[in-house]
Amino acid sequence: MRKLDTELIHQSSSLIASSDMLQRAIEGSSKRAELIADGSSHSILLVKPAFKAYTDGSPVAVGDLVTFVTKKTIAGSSYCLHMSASEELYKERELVMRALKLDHDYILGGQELNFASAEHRPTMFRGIIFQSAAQQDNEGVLKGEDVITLYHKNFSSFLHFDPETHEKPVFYSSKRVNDKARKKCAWMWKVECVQVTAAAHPLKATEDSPIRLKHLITNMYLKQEGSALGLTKEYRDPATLFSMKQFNKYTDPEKILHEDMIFMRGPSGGWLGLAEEDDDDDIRTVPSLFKNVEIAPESDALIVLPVRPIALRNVVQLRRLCLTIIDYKKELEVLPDCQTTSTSDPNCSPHVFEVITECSGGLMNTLRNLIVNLTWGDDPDPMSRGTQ
Amino acid sequence: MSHVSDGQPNKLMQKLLRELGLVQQVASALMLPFQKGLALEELGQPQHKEKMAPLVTLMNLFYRLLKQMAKENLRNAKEVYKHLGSFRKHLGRGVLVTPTVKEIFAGKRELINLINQDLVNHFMSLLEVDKAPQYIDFLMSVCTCPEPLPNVQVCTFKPDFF
Repeated sequence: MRKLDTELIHQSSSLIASSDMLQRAIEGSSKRAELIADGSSHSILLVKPAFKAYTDGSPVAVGDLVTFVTKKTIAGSSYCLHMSASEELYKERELVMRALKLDHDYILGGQELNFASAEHRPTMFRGIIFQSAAQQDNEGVLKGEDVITLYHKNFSSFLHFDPETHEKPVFYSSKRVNDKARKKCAWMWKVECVQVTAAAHPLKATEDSPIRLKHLITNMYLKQEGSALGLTKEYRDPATLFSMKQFNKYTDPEKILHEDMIFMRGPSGGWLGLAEEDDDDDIRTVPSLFKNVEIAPESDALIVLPVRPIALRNVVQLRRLCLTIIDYKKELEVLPDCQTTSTSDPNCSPHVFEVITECSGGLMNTLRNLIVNLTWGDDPDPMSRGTQ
Repeated sequence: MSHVSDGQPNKLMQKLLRELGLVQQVASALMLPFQKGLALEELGQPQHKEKMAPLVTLMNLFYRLLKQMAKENLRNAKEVYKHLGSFRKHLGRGVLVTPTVKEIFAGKRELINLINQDLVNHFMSLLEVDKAPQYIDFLMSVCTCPEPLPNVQVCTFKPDFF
């Protein structure tokens, strides 16, 4: 129904969109939109028809144009959800990257979502179904955008990637299969459907239903590299397309349940399994190998184990904070190297101070947040933490 | 209800931040300004205090973050220890390196056993310049774990110093 009280909840992080009436948005006259954990009175939005041709109370269909207006007024004014058209953001990709706390070559630019005064012409939104409510209630069914771990039952190991220790994904031996115990970042993979319109649909264990697996913390896609697994940022690479097959031939291939056993088939047709020879000294890890045999070896069945929402939320939130630090580091890295003596280089040092000034606001907030939350004390001042 | 300033470490967060490679990122972020044109010698000097103030604030927070990550966590302390050589360049420049270095070793026998004469001499030389309590505090803390450690005690014993 139109003029319905709604909240916009971000599906992946479970955060609620809200307007921050105290913070100015990048677009001058608007208020900043933010995603917060429990919502606030500013999170309640009225869905209104975009055109007066419709009346309040008439039904909304997929594809209808609507506006979102805050129910609560501030100083007598309502604010509507608004997409900016800022020249500054068009020109300065770095501003967008910093706001997103993301850096990916595919992000060419962006505009800001904020709350603008409802007296101006509001932005019209067209709703498209990402996932139907019926599918959302389908508990225990593996869907696109789910974050999972893949467990090799025979070798008792998780599909693991840690760029610090291994260049390629490996199988990491661990008995931590308990629901609460499997929260290692290196094991988390996001399943992505190839078609955007089927983004969060239930996945099928058939050859004609390809998927991609994205490593959650590095944002890299799993790919077949020769006879082993590799990773790439290029999601359009055909080598990133995998398909699944149920281990149990009597199981319905039209859906995959959590904790189902499956086989993974690479884009070149081989079945994902363990290599017989280990090329490093780490006894906990075994490299992957695609086996070009007609029938999948039963010993290479993988169990699809979901990640608990709380574990996932912790990782996603911390990763976003870490990206602020990485952004600062990257900004410094692009500056040319300078040889200094006992005094700062007069040509180079202004650029360094410029980066420090640009990044310090967000960076300090992030560092304070991390420091205060790393211990269970009461002191809100990060600098007096750990000084008793 | 009693007020706890710092409290016990949040082990899960320490682990996740280690897995996200934060120690490496912070170590790079601490070193980069000096590779890109700033002079290390100007850090902590009164005449450059105003100019360096934003960087000093950031470095204080970075070092405090590393300290909290290493608190009562041997694996994290080992990760931070890998960058000790770089961090030592910032000692004595007022950016809270000493509490972080102290935390790396505090109660971690495996790491205390890696302390050598060179590190102890570094702190001794800092004490000769500035009789600041944090340097004494560091030397005191690494001599016990919690029982006395003769190897480190021998390193810190310098009869002509006092």
